[in-house]
Amino acid sequence: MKIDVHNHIGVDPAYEEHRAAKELVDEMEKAGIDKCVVFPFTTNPDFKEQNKVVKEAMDKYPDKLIGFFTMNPRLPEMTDLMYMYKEQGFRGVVTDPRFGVGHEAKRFHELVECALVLEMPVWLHSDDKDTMRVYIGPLEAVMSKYPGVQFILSSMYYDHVGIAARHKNVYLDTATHMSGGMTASAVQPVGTHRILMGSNSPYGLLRREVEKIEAEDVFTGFQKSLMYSLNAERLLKL
Amino acid sequence: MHVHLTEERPDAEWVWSNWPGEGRRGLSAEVFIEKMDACKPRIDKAVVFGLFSLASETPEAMRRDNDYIMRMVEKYPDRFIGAGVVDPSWGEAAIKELHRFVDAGLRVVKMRFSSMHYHANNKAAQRVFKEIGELGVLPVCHSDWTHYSNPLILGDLASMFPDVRMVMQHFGEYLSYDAISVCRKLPNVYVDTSALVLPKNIVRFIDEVSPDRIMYASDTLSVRGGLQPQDALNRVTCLELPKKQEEKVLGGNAVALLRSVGVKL
Repeated sequence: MKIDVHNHIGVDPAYEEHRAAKELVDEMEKAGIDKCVVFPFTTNPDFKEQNKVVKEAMDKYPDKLIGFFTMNPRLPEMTDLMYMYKEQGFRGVVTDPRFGVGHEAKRFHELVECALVLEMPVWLHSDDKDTMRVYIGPLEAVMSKYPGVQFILSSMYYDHVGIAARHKNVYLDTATHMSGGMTASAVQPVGTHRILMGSNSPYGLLRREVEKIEAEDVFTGFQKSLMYSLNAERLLKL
Repeated sequence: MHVHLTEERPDAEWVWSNWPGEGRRGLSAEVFIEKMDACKPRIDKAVVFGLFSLASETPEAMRRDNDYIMRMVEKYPDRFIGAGVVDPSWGEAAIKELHRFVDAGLRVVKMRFSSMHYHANNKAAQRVFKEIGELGVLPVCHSDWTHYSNPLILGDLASMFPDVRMVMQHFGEYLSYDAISVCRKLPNVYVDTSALVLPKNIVRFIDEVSPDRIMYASDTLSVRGGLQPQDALNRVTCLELPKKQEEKVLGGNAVALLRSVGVKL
């Protein structure tokens, strides 16, 4: 079993990327991936429409696609929407500082609190630290405040290995890691049990993510199976 | 050249999103005029634009911010030069909003790619810049150290539109050496001094790039704290530039640039 936890479908208005669910499913078959977590492009502010695209994809490919929804914490109706999306079958929430809400903000804390109640992981860009007004301190404070919430930090930048080492409720995905060797460097401080295979497709390639793990000879077969699927299955209660 | 104004709103519209004890954010036109008058030297005019719609949750949010700016320009025509905010993520709706506020008289366009979390040279931004070029208005773009808005990425965008003059706001912040490098090669790029970390690079810019393409700015967006106009003035005046150079930085260059895009001064 192989599960890729980081894939976008829909429309990316910034880079003019349009990706249908069918394109992802075709790529999955070629790469030997059984299931993918999908969510909208975080550059698209029209997230309600994009969540609909994901919902349609989940309905069309229920055995292959696991949907996360995107949420703008600035909306007063945020928690109502989160309950609705949970009801619709979404399994996680994605948010992004592009919505103008920092990790210290009341609205971000409320999103995390709602995710706790709904038993959903919270997916965050780990490269948010490179953006304005998003600091690691407030992010770590939230991780400590809500130990019952599982966070997925995407794009395994170096600082986030340290963050994951300090916070046991943090998972890392392998997207944008240059090599399997760099993924291996996170194993000692974090543990393989919190590393998820994620390609960031369509910007990354599903096949490449498998090869990164497969080609790295320091991983045991068990460690590979954790990253390929066992961690995702445990996290998402599949 | 760089002030964010925000409309006063009833408590009920914002307290739900703030922690107890956390004050409202923002700066009204009236409060900023008081600050302009209190500055030494006094600030005569300011380029103003919105704050909350830099990355907007809806196209309506953009319009709401821009409407407030237009009302304040109408109310205080001797003090404010208005700029409209555009979030290119909204595609056609962003282009429509650009045309709407330009038709209404605004000649400056504010964009902040670090808020939108994508690279300044992306396709959507190129599309907006193409329209800006055809409208003959002035884009003013936030710069910083991130991969979204660093001077090289903004410079790449500017290089695609050599006939469009662009202001690289904040002078690259921590990356002011990079901003100088970009501006040396691209004559259509100007800088403002707001949030510049190394003030001596104002002198370096004048010496190595041009005395005509650098402008005083404060990036004030709050009543207290953060960046304030007097502190930003001090950043320039502490350099004790030759009088003619200082006059250019504190206003002469801005007047020439704004007039070149049709702002009546």
